[in-house]
Amino acid sequence: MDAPNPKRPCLVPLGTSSIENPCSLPIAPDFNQSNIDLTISSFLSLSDLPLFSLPLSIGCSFDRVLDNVIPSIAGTSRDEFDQDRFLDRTLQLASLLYKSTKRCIRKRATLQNSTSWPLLPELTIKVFSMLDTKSLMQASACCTMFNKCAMDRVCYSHIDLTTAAEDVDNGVVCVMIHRAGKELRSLKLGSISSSAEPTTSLLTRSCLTPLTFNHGFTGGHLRSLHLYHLRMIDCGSLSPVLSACLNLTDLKIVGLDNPLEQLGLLTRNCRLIEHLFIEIYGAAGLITDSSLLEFAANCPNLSSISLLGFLLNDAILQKLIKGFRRLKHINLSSSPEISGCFFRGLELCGKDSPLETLILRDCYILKESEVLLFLNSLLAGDFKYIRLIDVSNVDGLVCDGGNRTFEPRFPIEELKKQRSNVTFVAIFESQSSLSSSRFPLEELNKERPGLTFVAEFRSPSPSESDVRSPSPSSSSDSSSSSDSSSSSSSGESSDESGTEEEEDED
Amino acid sequence: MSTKKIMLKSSDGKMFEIEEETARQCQTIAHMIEAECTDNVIPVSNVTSEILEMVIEYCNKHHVDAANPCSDEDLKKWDKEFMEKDQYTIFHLMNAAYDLHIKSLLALAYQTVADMVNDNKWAFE
Repeated sequence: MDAPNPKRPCLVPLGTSSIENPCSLPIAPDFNQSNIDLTISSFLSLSDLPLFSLPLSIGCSFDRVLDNVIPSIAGTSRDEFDQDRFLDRTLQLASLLYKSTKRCIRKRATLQNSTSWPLLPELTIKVFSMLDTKSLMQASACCTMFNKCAMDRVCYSHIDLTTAAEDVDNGVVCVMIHRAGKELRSLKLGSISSSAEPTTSLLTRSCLTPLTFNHGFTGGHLRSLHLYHLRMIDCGSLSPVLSACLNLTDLKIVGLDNPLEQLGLLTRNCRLIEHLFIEIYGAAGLITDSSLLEFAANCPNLSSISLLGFLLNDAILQKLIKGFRRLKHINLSSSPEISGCFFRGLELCGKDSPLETLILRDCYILKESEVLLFLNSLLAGDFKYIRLIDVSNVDGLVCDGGNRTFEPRFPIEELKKQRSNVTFVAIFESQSSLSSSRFPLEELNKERPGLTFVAEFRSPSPSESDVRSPSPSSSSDSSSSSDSSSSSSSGESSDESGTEEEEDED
Repeated sequence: MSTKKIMLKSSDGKMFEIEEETARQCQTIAHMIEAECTDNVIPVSNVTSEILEMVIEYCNKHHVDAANPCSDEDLKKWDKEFMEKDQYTIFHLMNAAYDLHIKSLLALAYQTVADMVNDNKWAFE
């Protein structure tokens, strides 16, 4: 019904007839728009007649009119041509009526929605702007009115496609960035799940190119960019994108290929960055002094740095920390070459250091003696702003003889007394399957500041290694959590946590 | 110490008494008071008595002073309970907050609706 009869191609444009006969339906000169409207209105008002089968039905009338206009035996070829045109025109008119009716139904539904929906459009838009991106898409599919509201730029100021990573490709991201335009403030892409490999993601680096369009008009307003496991992403490809994001303050990249030599290049134009989080796939190359200096010069406002899985040694780390005077949060987990000597460099800052969080989880060669030195400086009153220290390690710490210890000698009791506002985390598991990374320590630190010290030192005994549930050693009593609200003793609480882990493993 | 009272008249003609200082949380009413274009009765033409009563309850709770101390924690808890209403009541509260320019109530309503949609607890009828 939507298209003219394919077997009867219309060769002459409609309304151009040279032959005066009923088939050509010539338009009279005095036949204006109101006449047409009146004729159609009269036709549509026949609705009270039966539609089919009876002689008086509209269907029978259609048949009779068409039979009269199209004689059973065709005359000249010209007559036949006009008849073809007439039939095509009839089909077109029927199709137009069908489409108009559909449009009318939709308009009516939209009108009904807008009268029954009690919120003003500006309020609806504001609510939509607070939805996560997946919910926004679902709401926009409800009706035309919602779709119009969901098209507003404000609704796309915070794009988070991490919850629908498997359904999103480059095209979707590009459309959303275009919709956001100058309102774009934060962008989160990819799959957060740590198990996700770069090859499983539908997104590649090209999804970010709209940020650079129009001299970086859209990217220039972006404040936060989080990228998780995007394919083919490295410093070289990210650099032009980030050069358009001049106002970026928060950059997080999980799954970056070999970024160390190009850290300076990566942050060259992002001079306002305050929070930097980079986690890499493979082993990174060594960072050069010049690259390090450039990196430090590029980011004078950096207050939080997380470099996970980097081949950073203590000398580089010392320079890095000295280069960033405002650092409050440092996370250098899974760095295989950090022994802890850089702590001595930190001590030069002493009381004035703004450091609040220091996380060195699973740093394989981290030394007990260096951590002890740092804790002693805390007891001496240095680092007055520090709130969280985490030196948990599945392999324990390196002790003086080059051996590994699961029972380091830390002055826990003194720390509890003198620095009760500090959370010190030192969880040592012998099995890597019971990795300490399960515990949401930073969140705990924010939400439960009363939990002052967590330090469980666990060493496996021969009998325990079979059941995979290490119980606390003798030293844990003196160093376990001291939550004042807990009625159970520290030994019991340690046992409970061990049991929970055992259940998890099952 | 007696504080000045004003009357609010809902769209269905019901009258509500409220302290002037409390009513000043509604910027629309505050402007009317400052412009002295009220005879102590302010018509709130597009808010029903049921919704206006809730708005006044909210304003009374959020008018924190020496006589009515309330911690942020308590207010947050109260707000959460206050917004445990059916969706159309929340919509009408939102419209009222928009008309009366009560920023905190409007923000609370926005967040409530957004959270409910995000958590799939909302029916778009």
